[in-house]
Amino acid sequence: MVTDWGGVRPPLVEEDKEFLEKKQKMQDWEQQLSSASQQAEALVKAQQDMGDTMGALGLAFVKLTKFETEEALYESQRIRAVDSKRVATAAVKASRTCRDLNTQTVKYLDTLHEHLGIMLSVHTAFSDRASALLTVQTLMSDLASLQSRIEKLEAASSKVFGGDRTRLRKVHELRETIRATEDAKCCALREYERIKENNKIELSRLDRERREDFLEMLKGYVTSQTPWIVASFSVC
Amino acid sequence: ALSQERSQSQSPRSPGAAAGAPFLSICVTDPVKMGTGVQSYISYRVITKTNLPEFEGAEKIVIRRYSDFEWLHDRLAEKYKGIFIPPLPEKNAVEKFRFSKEFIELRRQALDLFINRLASHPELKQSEDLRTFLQADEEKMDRARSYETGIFKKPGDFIQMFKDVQSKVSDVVLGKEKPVEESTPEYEKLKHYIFELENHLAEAQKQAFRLVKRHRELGQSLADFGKAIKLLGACEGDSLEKVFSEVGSKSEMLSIKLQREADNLLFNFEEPLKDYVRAVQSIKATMLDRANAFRQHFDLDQERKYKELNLEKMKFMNPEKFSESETEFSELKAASEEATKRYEHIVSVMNDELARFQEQKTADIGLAFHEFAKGQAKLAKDIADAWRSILPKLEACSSS
Repeated sequence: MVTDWGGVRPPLVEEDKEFLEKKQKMQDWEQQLSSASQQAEALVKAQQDMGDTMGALGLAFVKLTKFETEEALYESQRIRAVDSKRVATAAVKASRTCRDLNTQTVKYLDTLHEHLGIMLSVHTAFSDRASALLTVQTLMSDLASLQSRIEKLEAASSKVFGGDRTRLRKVHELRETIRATEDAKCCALREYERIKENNKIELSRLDRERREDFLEMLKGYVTSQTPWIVASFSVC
Repeated sequence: ALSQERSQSQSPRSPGAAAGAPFLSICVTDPVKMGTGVQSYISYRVITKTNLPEFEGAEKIVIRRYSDFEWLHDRLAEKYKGIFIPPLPEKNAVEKFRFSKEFIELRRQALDLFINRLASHPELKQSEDLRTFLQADEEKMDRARSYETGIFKKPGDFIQMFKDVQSKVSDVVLGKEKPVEESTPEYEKLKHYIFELENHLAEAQKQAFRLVKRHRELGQSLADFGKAIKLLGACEGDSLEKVFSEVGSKSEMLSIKLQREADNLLFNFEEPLKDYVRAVQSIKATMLDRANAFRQHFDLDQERKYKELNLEKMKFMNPEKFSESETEFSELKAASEEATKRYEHIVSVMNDELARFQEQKTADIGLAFHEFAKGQAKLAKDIADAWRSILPKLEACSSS
């Protein structure tokens, strides 16, 4: 028992080890997720740029072909025009494929961004839990200090012959306060337990969904990349 | 291996198949950085192997730098008017990019191409300056080079010089306002074709250069993405981690393939296009020479006609001055005939050169297109194969 005013028992630490481990894992996960999400954005941009430049190249060759065909002064120009037309057509086709492919990539890798969003609500849930715990802890320390005040008053009052009326009245008041505080503590504890239980259910649900979503994402991304073969330039 | 292939396919050297058949085989190799800081430059080893009698020996090795090649180019441009002198790679004084591995190799290849094109041109290969370049010791080369600096015009100054030429002295002599240009429908068509061709090619080359960059960028972002996915999978653990790791590894592997294709595009597609642009610019330089030659011929011809008329009058009106004027006139007549001959020579040479140019360029660019298509087809196949190979693993994971 502590004697200084306002001194309390050491605060209730989050003892749920399992939860603490889980929380740490989630933090690591979130860090990697954020990094992967950034890289995915860069990848999408690179794919888009590739498609755009391929298209511009195709266009440049279309114009060259037209020019060599229209302004032909030599037979060899017609030969070159046939070649450059083939390259132009293939480049334009590749550019379109690239763009389509990129749309798919965006769709699938979006899962990364989505889950970053989900992490926000996980953080909210964790902070709800923390404040519920804080409430419980605060009430418990309040109770402890009330109890110690009562004990002090009773001890002091017993030294006075016939009892100390003022002090005893104070004790009575304090006992009322304790009762009210006890009730509040019970509510808070119930609330805290409820949140803990919720967390557990939600986290396990999130685990399942995460696995499904990411497997879906990887499958989708990989599958969408295979049509590259369609864009292949047939060898001239 | 790639550069050798390219050298052999792009630069026709005289065949030395049959024993005793004349051959001249040149190789520009071994780029070495010399000096430090702003003064640094690259030196190349030029190896000549020949059985031609005009040369000093069967094999000769000399050390040359870019400005030595420039000297040779400018001498030939001055002496062989009408011929499209094979182009040099750009000087590129930008410090940052000067000594990148790619820049050095591209330049070496371009210089090798340059010298071999000289060696296979029927007229240029007989040039004494070429022999000096291939055989002279460094001292002699240095002397020759410093003697001739700054006199010769570069194709890049084309537009400005055309204007300069147009404001030349003949207007004063003839009292004419507008300078005259050679103008036949065929030549007009040709001029228009050459100018327009350069624009189209420059645009294609610009996009090709960008495409190289895009390949590098995509390669880099795939590598970064692959790494991030692997780390993400490590957080997950168990079977899902394996799947993430597969995807990550494939990304990293494809990143390497993209970098390689970027190199392939740079050397076998973008550089040939650039070479094509340079060749067209060389034609424009010859057109400038032709315009100058025409101007001289025309002006002297006009002057001669004018003087001829005056000479007739002078016979009767000022007999003392007549013989002096007669001498002056014959000198003028000779100069005029000389200028006309020079101009007509350029015209006739140009016709042959144009036919050669068309044939050569069709072959060169056809090869470049082929390489481009081949490289892209292989890349596409590699990408599709890589991703398809891990689909079964992904399927297996989801069903478990």
